[in-house]
Amino acid sequence: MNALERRPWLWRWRLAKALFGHSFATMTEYRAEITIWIVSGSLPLVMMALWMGIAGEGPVGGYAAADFAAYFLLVFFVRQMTSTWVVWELDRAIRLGELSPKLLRPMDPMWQDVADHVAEKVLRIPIIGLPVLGGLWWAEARLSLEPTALAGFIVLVVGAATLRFFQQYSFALLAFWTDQAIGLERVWFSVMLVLSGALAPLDLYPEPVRAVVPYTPFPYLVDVPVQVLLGRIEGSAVAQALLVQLAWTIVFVLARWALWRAGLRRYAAVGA
Amino acid sequence: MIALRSLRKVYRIHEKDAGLAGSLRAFWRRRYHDLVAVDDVSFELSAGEMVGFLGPNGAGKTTTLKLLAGLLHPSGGEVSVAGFEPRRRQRAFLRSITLVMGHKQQLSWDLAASDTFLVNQAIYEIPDPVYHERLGELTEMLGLHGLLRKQVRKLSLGERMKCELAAALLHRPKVLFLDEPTIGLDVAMQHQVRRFVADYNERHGATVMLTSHNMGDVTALAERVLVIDRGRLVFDGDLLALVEQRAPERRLHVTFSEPIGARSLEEACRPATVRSAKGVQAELSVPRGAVAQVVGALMASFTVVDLVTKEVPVEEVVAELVVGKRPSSGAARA
Repeated sequence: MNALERRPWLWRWRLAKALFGHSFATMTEYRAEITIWIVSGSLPLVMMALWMGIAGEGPVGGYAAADFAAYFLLVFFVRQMTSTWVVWELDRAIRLGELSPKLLRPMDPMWQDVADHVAEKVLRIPIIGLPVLGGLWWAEARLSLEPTALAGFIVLVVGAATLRFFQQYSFALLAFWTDQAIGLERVWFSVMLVLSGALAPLDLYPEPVRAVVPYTPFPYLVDVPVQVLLGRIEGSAVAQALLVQLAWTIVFVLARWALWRAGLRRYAAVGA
Repeated sequence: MIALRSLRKVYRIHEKDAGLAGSLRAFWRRRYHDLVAVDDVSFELSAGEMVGFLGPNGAGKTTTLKLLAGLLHPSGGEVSVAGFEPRRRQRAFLRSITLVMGHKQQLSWDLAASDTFLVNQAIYEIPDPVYHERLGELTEMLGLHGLLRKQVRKLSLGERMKCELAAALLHRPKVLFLDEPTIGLDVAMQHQVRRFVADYNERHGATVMLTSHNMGDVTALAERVLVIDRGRLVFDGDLLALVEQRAPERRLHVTFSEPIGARSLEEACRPATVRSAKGVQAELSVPRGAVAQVVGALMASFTVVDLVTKEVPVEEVVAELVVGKRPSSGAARA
C-alpha cells in the first residue's frame, strides 16, 4: 500500500494489467466471433491464389509464384495483427449516449479500447501463427531472418497497428458532428486496400502511383513491413520507413487529441 | 457542497417533418429552435444532505444532474460541486462524485460484475485492503452474495442495479447523483435500494441528490424536495410542509352499513366535500380543523362500519403544483 502511494507509476501498471485482464476476459467470450473475423480477413489468401496462377507462366515484375505466396501470407498476417474496429464501437457510443458512463471515470475511455485491441491480438496470434508459418514453409518462402530485418518487421507491424488505431479513432470521433463517421472510414478502407499493398505488391504499380504513395500513410500499414521481412527493403530504407510511419502516427495522435477535446465540448453542449 | 446560481441550459433542436418530403426539405434547409431545458435554477445543498428531485418527464431533472456531474456544460449561470467546477472534469472532482443512471450502465455486459470492479479499483487507485473492506461492506449492505461472479447479462434487472450501485460507490464518493435508480424495479427491490441509499448516506455522510418520478423513493428518503417543471424550480423545501401548504385538507374514507345517496351524504357532512361515493364506500375531503366535527356528524346520521383518515397523497400535491403553474393555453412541450 505504501509502495503504491509512493510510486504513482505502479498504479499505471496496475491499471494497464486490470484493463488488459478485463479485455482478455471479454475477448475470450467472443472466441467464435474472432474466428469469423479472421476468416473475413482472408482476401490476401484469395489474391495469393490469383497471383500465383499468373506467375505460373513465369515471374511477374521479379515475383515468382513462391514470392507471391510469401508476400500474401505475410500480408495476411500483418492485416490480422493490425485489424481495428474502434470506429464501430465509438460511433455507437457517441450517438447513443453510451459514452456518458465512461466519462464519469477519471480515465480517458480510449485506454479501454487500446486494451481491447491488444487483447484481441494476443488471442489471434496462436490461431493464425501456426497456419502462416506452415504456409511459408510449404511455399519455400525466402525470408530475411537477420535480427535487424526481424526487429524492423516487428516494430513496423506494431507501428502499423498504432497508426491505424489512431487514424480510425480520429475518424470515429467525427460522430460527434456527423452520423457519417462509419461511411468515411469505409472510404478510407477502400483506398487503403488498394494503396497499402493488400491486393498487389506496390512495386508492381505504375510509376506515377509508386512516386506518390510513399508520402501517404498507406504503404506503411501493409506493404513496407512485409517487404522488410522479405528482404526487399533493407538498410537505411527501413529507418526511413520507420520515420515516415512515426510521423503519420504522430499526425493522427494529435488529430485524435484535438478531435476528442472539441468533440467533448460539443457533446457537453448538445446533450450527453 | 453543491451550489447552483441561475443555472441555465439551452439545447438547439433540429426540426424535421415526417416522411420523405420532410427529409428532403430538412436536407436543404435545416430548421432549428432553442429548447430551454434548465432555466434560471438556483439552490444549495450542504454536506450530508439528501434531497429528492421531482418533476414530470422532460422537466429538466436529468439535464440538471448531468450539468452537476460535468457531462453537460451550462449555457449560463454557475455550478459548484464539492468545491469544483464540474465542466472542467478534473480528476479530483471525478473521484469525489458518482452518477448512477437507471437506464445506462457501466458494468460490462459479457463479464461478471467483479471484473468491472477490478478495473474501477485500478482507475480510482484503491489499495487492496481498502478495496476488500469496501467491497465487503457493499456486499453486506446490498445483499450481493453470489451475484458478483455471474455474467452481468444473466442478472435480473434488480440484481444488476444493485451491482451498478456497488460499482459506482467503490471509490466512496462524497456526492451521489442518482437518476431514476429504481426505474423498472419491483416493489421489494425498490425498497431495498432505498434502504441502501439511506444507510449509505447515514454511514458516510454523503450528499445525495435523487431524481425519480416514483414518489415513494422521495418520500422514503428525503425531507427536502426540489420540484422542477419545464426547466424551472417551482418548489424547494420540506415535503411535509409542501403537503400542508398545498393540501390544507385531509381525506376521510368511510364505509357505511348500507348504500348512501350522494345528496344526503353531502348535506350531512358539511363543511367537507364528497370526492366520491359509490355504494357503501365514500371518500370525503375535510378541512384540517373540521375532522372531528365531520366524523361526529356522519356517526349521528348514518351507521358507519369503518372510517380512516389520510393525508392527501404526495403525488397529487406535486401534480397540482406542476399542473397549477402551467399556462392555460397548454403550450406544446418538448
